[in-house]
Formats: sequence, C-alpha cells, structure tokens
Amino acid sequence: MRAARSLRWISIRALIAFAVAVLVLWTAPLVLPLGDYTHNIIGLTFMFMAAALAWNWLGGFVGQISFGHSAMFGVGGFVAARLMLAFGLPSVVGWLAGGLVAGGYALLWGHPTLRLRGPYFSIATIGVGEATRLIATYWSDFTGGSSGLSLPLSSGPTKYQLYWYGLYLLVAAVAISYWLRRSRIGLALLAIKEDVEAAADVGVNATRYQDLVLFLSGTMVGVCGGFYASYQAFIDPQDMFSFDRSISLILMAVIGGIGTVLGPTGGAVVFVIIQEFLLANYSQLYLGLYGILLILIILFEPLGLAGLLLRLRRLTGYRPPADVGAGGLTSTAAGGATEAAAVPADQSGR
Amino acid sequence: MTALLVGESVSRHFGGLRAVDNVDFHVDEAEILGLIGPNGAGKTTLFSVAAGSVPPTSGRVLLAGTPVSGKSAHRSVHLGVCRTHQIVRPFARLTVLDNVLVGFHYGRPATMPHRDPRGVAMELLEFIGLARDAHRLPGQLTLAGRKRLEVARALATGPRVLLLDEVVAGLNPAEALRLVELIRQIRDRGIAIIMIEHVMPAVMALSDRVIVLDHGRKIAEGTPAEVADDPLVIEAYLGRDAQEPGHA
Repeated sequence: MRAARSLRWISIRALIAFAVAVLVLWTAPLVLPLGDYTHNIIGLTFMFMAAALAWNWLGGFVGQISFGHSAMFGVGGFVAARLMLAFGLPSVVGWLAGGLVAGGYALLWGHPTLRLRGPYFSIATIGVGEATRLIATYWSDFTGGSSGLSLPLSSGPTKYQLYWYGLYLLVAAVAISYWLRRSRIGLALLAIKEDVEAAADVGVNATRYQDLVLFLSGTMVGVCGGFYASYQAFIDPQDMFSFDRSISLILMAVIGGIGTVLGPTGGAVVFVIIQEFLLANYSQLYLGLYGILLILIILFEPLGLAGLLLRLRRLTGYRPPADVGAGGLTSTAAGGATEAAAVPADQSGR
Repeated sequence: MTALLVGESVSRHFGGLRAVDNVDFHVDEAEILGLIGPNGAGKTTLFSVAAGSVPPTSGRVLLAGTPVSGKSAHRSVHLGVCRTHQIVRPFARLTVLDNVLVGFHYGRPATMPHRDPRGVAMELLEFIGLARDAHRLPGQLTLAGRKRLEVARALATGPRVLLLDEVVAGLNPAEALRLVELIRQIRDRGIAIIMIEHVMPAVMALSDRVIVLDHGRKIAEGTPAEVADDPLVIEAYLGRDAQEPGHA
C-alpha cells in the first residue's frame, strides 16, 4: 500500500531522466575541457539552484513569500564555519550541523509568524532578516564582526571538488521538491496556499505543515550557506545576511517559475549568468535589469521560464491538466467569494 | 437513543455582543436538525463553535461525550464534526477531485485505512453528482455545482456530524430540490446533520426538528410545524404587528 502510494508521485520516466541528467553533470568536468572559472561557477550555480528550490518550498508551494531567507543562509554559513574552525570537523558535517541550526532558527521565528498570511508574513520576514543581520554584525565574537571569518584553505574539499558537493546538494533539493509537491503532502500545501481556513475545516493541520516546510527550507538554505562559506573560504555578516541575498532567492524563483517543481533551478542559472557576465561589465545597471525582468515576468508569464516551456509544449499539442496554474504568483483565494450570500428570492411565489 | 452531538449552555461573546447566548442543542445519529433565525441571530457563530474554529466563551460542545469545542478546526474534523461554508470556499486552483482528496487524506483520523483514495473519492463524486466534473476546476462549475463540491469535500472527511451552512440558498428551485434529495440521502447514511437555512420549504421538508435563534438566544424548538406556528418565531421574523391585517 505504502509502496504504491510512494511510486505514484514520481514517474519512472522522470526518474530515468533525472538519473541521466545527474550522470551527465557528474561526468561532465571529467570529460569536457572546462576552465577553472567555469567549473567553479557551475558548482556555485548548483548551490544557488538548491537554495532557490528551498525558498520555493515555502514561497511557492505554501505561498508564504519570505524576504528573510538570508538569515538562515548566514546562520548556516557561520555555524558551519565556526564548527570547522573550532573542531576541525569535515566540511559536510559542518554544513549539515549549520543547516540544522538554521532550520531550528527558522522555526524559532517562523512558528509564531507563519500564522500571518500574505504581505503581513512578508513584512515580518523583512524584520527578521534585518534584525538577524544587525545582531550578526555586532556579535563579533562569533561572526568576526565586519572583518568576517576566514576558513583555513588546507581543510575540507578543494574548490575543484566542491562542484560535486554542489551537485549532491542540488540532487537532494530536487528530490525534496518532488516529494513536497507530488506526494500527499503537496495537496495539503496547495490547500493551505489557496485558503488556510477552509483547509483547516477539512482537517489539514496548517501549523504543522507550514512548520515542516519552513524547517526543511531553512535547513537546506543553511546548508547552502555552509557550502558558500567553504567556497569563498571567507565570509562576513554584511554579505551573508544581506537583504540582497534574500531578494536574489526570490528573483531566482520568480524568473524560473514560482510554485513550479523545478522552475527555480532555471531561474538560478539565469541569475548567475546575469550576475557573472553582465554585472561584471555593467554593475550600475543590475538593479534596473532585475526590475525590468521582474515586471515583464509578472505581466506576461507569471510562471516564468516554466510557463514559457509550458507554452512551447502546448504548441506541440500537449494539453496540461486543469490545475496547472496551482503554482503561480497570484492567489485566487478571494475569487470564489464573488457570489454574495443568497437572497431568498424565489420564495415569494409560494 | 442518546444524542450524538450535544451543546451545553454554549455562549460566544464578541466584545459586548452576545452572538450566541446560553444555547443548548443536541442532534442524534441520522437526524436532521434545522437551525433558523433572522440575519445576525448567531447561527453561523454557533457553527463555528461546534466546528472548533471559534472557542466558546462559556459552555461546551460534546461529540459522543468527547469535547470538540475550543480545540481547533482540524481536530474537530478528525473527531468527526465537519462544516461547510455559507459562501463556498473551494480550493480554486485544485481540481474538483483534488479538492475532495484533501478532505479524504487529511480529514480522517490517521488510523482509518487509505485504500485506493482516488477510487473512493470518485465514488463520492458519483454520489454527489459531480463525477463528470472531477478534472475541472471549481470555477468552471455552476454555483449549484460548487455547493455540491463543498458538501462532497466535507463528506470526504468521514464526518459523524455534518454542519451545512446555507447550502440550498441561492439555487434555483430545480437545483434546490435535487440538493434537498441529496441531503436526505446523506442523512440516510447515518450521518447527523445540522443545517442553517433561510429557504423555508427546504428546512420544513428536511428537518426532523428545528431550533430558532434570535439575538443569540434560542427562542423555540420543536417539529417544523410547531415552530412555524410559534408566535415568538413569527415575531422574530416579521415584527410585532405582523399578524395584523394590512401590515404584513
């Protein structure tokens, strides 16, 4: 019974395609003559893809848009760095520990604030993100303050090896994305996103599922922070906890397709390309560029790259199921309330 | 027969407003209890208390002896009390089938077996009369269809007591008649039903018993015929001078 259930949310074809993609990415650097720079950037992109997916679990699947995910990125990064520095822990253990602390931190502020919805939750997360950034900046005993922390270059995987660790991180994030969206839990998350009270009235424990998703999201973003610390070998609070970092996760998800299973990975690729190739040459333009991109997406294709892909598939005769828009930016929760309460009009004739 | 759902001196105040004031009620297995009263009488608030989403100021609601009030909506559902909403609240971007599956997967206690959920959900949609619309979105249904969906989703949670908030209102006479028949069939499955309704013919035809609320207080209780003749009820609905010729 259980097996039948767990097989349904992932098709054999998707599983094979996934395995092939991972294999190709795993062997690519061994076969292709990638330069050091490209190799490293791809590794970093894997991490951003994983982080964007993790943000999307909360922002896309549950519809709670967080502007404060840099808090977990930073907590994960600094806890991992401190553990590696103090105890010489292997990097992976440090990342996981940092991730778990970040997930716990997310629950600490998220459990009370997740009962807020829409803009109110988002505003609360801005406060959390900024407060965390300030605390981290002034807590110099732990974070090194504005001078930051350096990791010893000799310990842990080399930058070259980080490519594969980034890939594993991405694989984990993709698997969790599928599980969260396609398993039975996905149904509860969508119900919560559509109408949290109606969901409770048919038995969905909204608090439990929102907490679960936030914990997973915070943990994954925290692990990404740890990875980033190892990648840079130097971290400082102003960078790790910056508001820009929270925004960047939102941008990746929106560009790729918020609420879709894999869309944010595409968004992360676009983001890194813009960041690395355009930003380097035209650094004054970047905010404007993101602004224009965001406006175009929201106006014309709320499902981002995933929506564009869907349009292409429609051209080839594919007919998506009716609930394909269940991701998406806008909430239609109020849309069903257009019929005013009934007027007992037809009673007069009796 | 002992009552399945019992409200003991239930009160709910909002600030100085006594929305529900010291109301006793009970409903038995396979019984339909009509809940009527003028607008603002406190009917929906009483539902919210019974369904667990609003805690009572005083008093309590018991399901077969177990308190259900003052916990939380999802726990009431797991215990077996499920409500529908006066203004339908479907999950707009989930298909009709998935709407029902949410109730099926999350409304039942974890111990209840989940054998072929889709098959069971389709059977339920068949019973409700929405099987052909299973893969459409709620927005593509008529209002009558969405009201049926609201009932189907609540039924999917396997309730022992179903609280129906104005499911007949707003439908045309033919649709209303079909829904009345459906409610009767649900009752025949052994489910206790409390229904708030303004459409009097529906209440009178369906209810085994009727409770009348006015300004939060219970002013009458009895068979539909008894209640309809009660001067207090007539006064509450129509005003003091209603029975004088020329005024009504």
